[in-house]
Amino acid sequence: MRALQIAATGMAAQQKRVEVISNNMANMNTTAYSTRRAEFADLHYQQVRQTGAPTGATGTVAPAGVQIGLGVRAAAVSMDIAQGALRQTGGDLDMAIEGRGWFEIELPSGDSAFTRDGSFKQTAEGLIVTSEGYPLVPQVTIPQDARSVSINADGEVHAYFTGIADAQLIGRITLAQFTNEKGLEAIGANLFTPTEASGDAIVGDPGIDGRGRLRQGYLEQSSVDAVAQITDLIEAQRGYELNSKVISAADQMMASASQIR
Amino acid sequence: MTDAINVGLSIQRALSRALDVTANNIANMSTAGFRRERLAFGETFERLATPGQGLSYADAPSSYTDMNQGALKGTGAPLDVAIEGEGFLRVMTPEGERLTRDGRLALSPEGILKTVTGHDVLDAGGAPIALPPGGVPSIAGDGTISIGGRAVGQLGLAMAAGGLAREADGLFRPLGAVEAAAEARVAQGMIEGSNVDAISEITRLIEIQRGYERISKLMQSEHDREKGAIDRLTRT
Repeated sequence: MRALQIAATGMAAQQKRVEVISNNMANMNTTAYSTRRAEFADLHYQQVRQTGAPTGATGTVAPAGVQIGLGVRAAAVSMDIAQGALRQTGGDLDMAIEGRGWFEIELPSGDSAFTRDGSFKQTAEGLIVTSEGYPLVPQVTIPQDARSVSINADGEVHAYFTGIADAQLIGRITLAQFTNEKGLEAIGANLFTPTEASGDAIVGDPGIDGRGRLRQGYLEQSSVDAVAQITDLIEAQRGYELNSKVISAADQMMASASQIR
Repeated sequence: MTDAINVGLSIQRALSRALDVTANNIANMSTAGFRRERLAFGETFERLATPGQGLSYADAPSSYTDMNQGALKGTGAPLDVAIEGEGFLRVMTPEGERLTRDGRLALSPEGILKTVTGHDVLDAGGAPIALPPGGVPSIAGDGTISIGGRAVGQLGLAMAAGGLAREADGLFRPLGAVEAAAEARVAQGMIEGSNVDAISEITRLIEIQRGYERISKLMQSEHDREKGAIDRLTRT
């Protein structure tokens, strides 16, 4: 009786799903968080009787075999790269990406990381950095005497100075793209690093080659949909219960078989 | 052992196999593109020495895959596709060509379209599909993939004439030739769920369990009857 093990794989899979859902719920208010999804795939099939196996001495063959699946496994936890809603903050250095693309950040180690969280700040020297203090790449420094900063949809950063009517171009923000965004590795703090699976970053100006545009004064909200997550959670819970019913049914059947004397 | 106990055993064996199949269906309730398996019961006839008399054993000689459409669920992800109607995506594995209804697709770093379990997705001609970088692909009902209004590939939709054998990861091995599926349509941003229906599976589970217990009781009473007969006959 394989049913016990098969149902156990089902319970383990649903449990993994609940873990993914709880992480999504926990990040409901995290800027630019992308919803994760647990992906399942069925396990191997045991061909108990092969199709075409002989059924008798007369040369007849079975038109269909018996195949019994051995359960389910969690194949991947994938990220749904969906645009989150934009929330107006009015912050000069708050930026949301409308469409695809990632901001490039330099980690203290010198490596690059990528984020869609555009809640940038400036250091005492005027350098644009993330909440953790990691500088944006390419680096943009806001002059100390700048009155205000304006970032347009194409990523151009202009500064206004007292007494000068025209804005001065002080830098340009670029966006990175990946062939397979789902392959990025999350390292926490809203940051991702490229992997073999994601491919290398393809950097370019916003609005070009399918890259999104920038929106100053807005932040992208988490794409977690609470209602969808709750329904998913209920589904996972019911799935878990059903699998445990299979376990108790199998247990009772084994008990009734062992009681025969 | 008498015939009654042997027949009972054959039923129990078939029922325990049915439980395995039901357990697998329930375990895969949330597996995208999963198709539920069903066991077909039958009988095996054994001719006895006396002419005209025989004995039937229960057997589960075959299982079949229920190919009914699963419910479509919107995900909004551009590389999630669901197939409506009869048809499969063509996939290349190291063991050869396979078919699947699991439309959770992704791009490899080289821009090759792959399934969630890492196999190449094939076009109508049987070649892998490469997408140029940049731009969000849009996929039409006939499987044509375009980026920025320019067609860059087409998903191959196929059917197997000679039946299918199941393999892991939602793959089906075609037993005969693969032919184009004209009726099938592709829906982008959707995933086809498993076609397992929880209510019918749990009903089936109860049926199997009760059937098994009934046969156990029958075998027990047959055993008691025989024991009683032996006791009475040996008392004289």
